[in-house]
Amino acid sequence: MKHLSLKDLASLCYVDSDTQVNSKLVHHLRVCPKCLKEYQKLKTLLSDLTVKLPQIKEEEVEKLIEKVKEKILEPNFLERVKYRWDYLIVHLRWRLAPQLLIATVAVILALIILPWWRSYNIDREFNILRLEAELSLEDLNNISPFDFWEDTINSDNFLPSTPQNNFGRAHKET
Amino acid sequence: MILSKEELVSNLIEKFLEGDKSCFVKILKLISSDVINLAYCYTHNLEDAKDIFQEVSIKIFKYLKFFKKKAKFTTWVYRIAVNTCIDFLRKKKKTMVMKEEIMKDENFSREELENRERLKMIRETLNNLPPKAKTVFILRHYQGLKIVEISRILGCSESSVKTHLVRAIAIIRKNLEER
Repeated sequence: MKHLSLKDLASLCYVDSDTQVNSKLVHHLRVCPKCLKEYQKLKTLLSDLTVKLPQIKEEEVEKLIEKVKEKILEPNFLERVKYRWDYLIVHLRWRLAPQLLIATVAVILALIILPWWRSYNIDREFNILRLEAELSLEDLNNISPFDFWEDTINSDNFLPSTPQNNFGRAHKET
Repeated sequence: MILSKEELVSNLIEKFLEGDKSCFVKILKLISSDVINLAYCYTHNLEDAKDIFQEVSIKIFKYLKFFKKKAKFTTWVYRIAVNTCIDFLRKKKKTMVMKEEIMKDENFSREELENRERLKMIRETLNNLPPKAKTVFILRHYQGLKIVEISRILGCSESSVKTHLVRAIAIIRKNLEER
């Protein structure tokens, strides 16, 4: 037979579970002396922890409320400033929370995007692109199929000329 | 027709928000015993409990405009009271130790001494609990609130509240068995 856990015993003490579960637990206690003993021990322990709550007279409560009224309705300058400040903070926190969030995100985005946007000049970028395009078009008009061949033959560094070979010289003589 | 406490309070809140400040006193009278008892369970000192009640009252006055009627007013008040008690104890930790030292020198009757010893034992036992478990235990054991209500006050699930309650009981049992 499975014994009751502390959770079950606690829910029995405080009557937290629904009636069906509760009746099952009570039934278990009837047949299991070990669990019954544990339950009684726990109940005694919890009752030992009971504190006698203070009985406050109405007059005392009224005195306390009078003190509160004095603080609230007749605050001094500092208290008034503090009250206003608290009110402002709470108002911002509760009422303007979504607006504040949106504004914060907008400011952060602006701080990131603006410097980049200022350094980026679309006209300059476009001018560079156009110049490159014009140059390449001019090149295409001027270059013949033999240009590449001539360039390679005439270049001095196509094959390195050394005293042992006469690549450059032989070519020039021919 | 007899109005429930919650209905009575919500009527008073509406009047207060319309500008009738005398309603606030009536609201305080309705919640005073709950708040003072909760504070007493936390501090085990009536004067401290009264101070906490004053602080809670001022907070309620300040923030009543922001109270959303989705939750019960008492739940909202309990939440404020629990947070105020925790803050209060944090601030008073050092001075409480000093008070205890002074009280040792005073002369009390045997019955009173036994009662004080018992209270001290309970206070020490509760202070050994993790903060959330302590709050759950106080709200369930001393205030007699239901698990659902506690879960609303603390903003957590019912199963979490049950777990904290069982953990609190387990720690208390262990501590008392060790004594």
